[in-house]
Amino acid sequence: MMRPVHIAGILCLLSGTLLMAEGCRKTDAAGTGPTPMAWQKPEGFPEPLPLFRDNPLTKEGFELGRVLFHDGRLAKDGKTSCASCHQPFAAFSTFDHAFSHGVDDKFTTRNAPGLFNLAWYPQMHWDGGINHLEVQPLSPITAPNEMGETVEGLVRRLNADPKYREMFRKAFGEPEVTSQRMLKALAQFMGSIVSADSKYDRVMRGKASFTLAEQSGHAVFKAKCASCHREPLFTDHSFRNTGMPVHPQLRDLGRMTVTRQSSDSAKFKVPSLRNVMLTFPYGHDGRFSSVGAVIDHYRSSVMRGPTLDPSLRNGISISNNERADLIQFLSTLTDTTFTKDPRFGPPR
Amino acid sequence: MRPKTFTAAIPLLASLLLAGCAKEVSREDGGHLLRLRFVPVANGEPLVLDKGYVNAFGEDYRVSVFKIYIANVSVSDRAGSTSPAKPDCFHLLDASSPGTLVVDHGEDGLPFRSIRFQFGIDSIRNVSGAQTGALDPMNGMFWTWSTGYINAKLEGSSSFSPNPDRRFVYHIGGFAGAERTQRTVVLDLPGTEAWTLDKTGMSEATIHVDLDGWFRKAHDLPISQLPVSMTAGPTATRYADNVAGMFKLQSIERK
Repeated sequence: MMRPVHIAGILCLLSGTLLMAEGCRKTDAAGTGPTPMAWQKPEGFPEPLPLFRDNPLTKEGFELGRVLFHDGRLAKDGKTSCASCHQPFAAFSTFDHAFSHGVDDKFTTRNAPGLFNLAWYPQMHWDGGINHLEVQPLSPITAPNEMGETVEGLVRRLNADPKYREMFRKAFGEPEVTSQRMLKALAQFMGSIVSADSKYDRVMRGKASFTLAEQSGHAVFKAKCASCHREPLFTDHSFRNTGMPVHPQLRDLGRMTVTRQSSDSAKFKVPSLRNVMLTFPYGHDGRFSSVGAVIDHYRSSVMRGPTLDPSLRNGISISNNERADLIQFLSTLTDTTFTKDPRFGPPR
Repeated sequence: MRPKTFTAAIPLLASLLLAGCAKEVSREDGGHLLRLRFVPVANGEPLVLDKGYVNAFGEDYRVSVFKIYIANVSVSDRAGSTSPAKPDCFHLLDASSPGTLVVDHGEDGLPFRSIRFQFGIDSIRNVSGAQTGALDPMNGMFWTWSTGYINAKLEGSSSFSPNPDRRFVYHIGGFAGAERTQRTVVLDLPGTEAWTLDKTGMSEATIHVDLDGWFRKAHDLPISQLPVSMTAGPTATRYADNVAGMFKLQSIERK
């Protein structure tokens, strides 16, 4: 017995808008769709997540994402953009701030991380609460101490702007602004921000060479840091308690906040050390003002506790000479090619 | 005669996947239509928002918000064979919006004995990035600080709540492992006869969603003890068990 075909027909007829939901693209009135954009995996990097499988990367989608990222009108106050706290020159972190300030001069409660190489990040946030880059922006957009906006209010505002409608039409074939299209455009932009042209990278590719101090710093790094800050991304994406006492006011228990497991108490994401010299201060609450202060924490002030990472039970033994070399090596992770890349800066 | 198979439509699944879910299929568009009419009820009468009711613990309660996700409607026959659910068919029932309480579902012409659907959003959609339609985060059923859909939302007030303004707030979600709050609901048809959908007409099933069950069904969850549940975890899964028991098929008739 055959299922009548007409039901499927009805479903298909009515699915025009839903087709877009599945990432299908329509060509616009002129018969030309958005221009596909290549995404190049840097030499020696692992395979990225399939971020653009359901969200094909296009020139117009990326460009729209860039405009959104740098637009203060995404926030309630009309002036706090993503880039306000994720500044390109600071590797998309907040330069020289333990905490960023959102709308109405409200402080955030965690240090804004640098944004790069997100195409390899299985989770976002210091606690890993966000499981996909596309839904990440919903958090700062709606947080009362960040952008303080509602998704509904934002979609309405963008829909009322003919310039945005034109950009959405170019990127997605239809001018209607939906939260999904907005988020996919932002993901195209953020997922394209790749940092892979530091001195370290050029050395790895045989295009430059380390100084003696950098080279011995690299050896120290490989022996004492790389098990968590794994090359070439300089993170293993895990969550660990590094023996930092819980902040007395913030009482931030990190990973446990989202997993509700006491075994995750005081664990935070291992941050990438790429561009580390640009992203100070350090730690989830920005309590360390310099790289040296972080190293000294591991040398002498790791606090024991039930969830302390086993590898840190006795801290990390680093001599003064090793400390100096390590800092030289970490300085080679600064990538000015990406911080100065005009494609990621504010649109002109 | 036992129907040959309910899965004759499998070759169509690919196209359905692409097409997503048609929210409304009108009667003029064809037959074999099953309309599910969900009626939120409290104390045995249709729910009126902000009206006072009393739960099984003698606690008064008023509901200001009641929203719940339903997905993947299908039907089962006597032998237990189940028709293929339309993949990715999600419906957000909202007590404040009567149009959302009617779910039209295209079926084939084979007899069935029960109606099945899923309460809540499956894990795939919780980990696949930005969604749209019923799953648009704009609908206020999405946790932005710890990714995941709120499968059911009940807000209101009770003199038994210790919270400011006597509020109670329940946002029930969680999709992973033991925190899963998705449930399958199977509603058997009344009587002994199997039901066959008309080729050109529509059958309408009236399904009560009993708010009293939110507080007492599989578990006792009095407002005085639990005025708030807003994260995934063991409490949320108990509410999910209760929600799964809130549905009751009242009638099915030809329209």
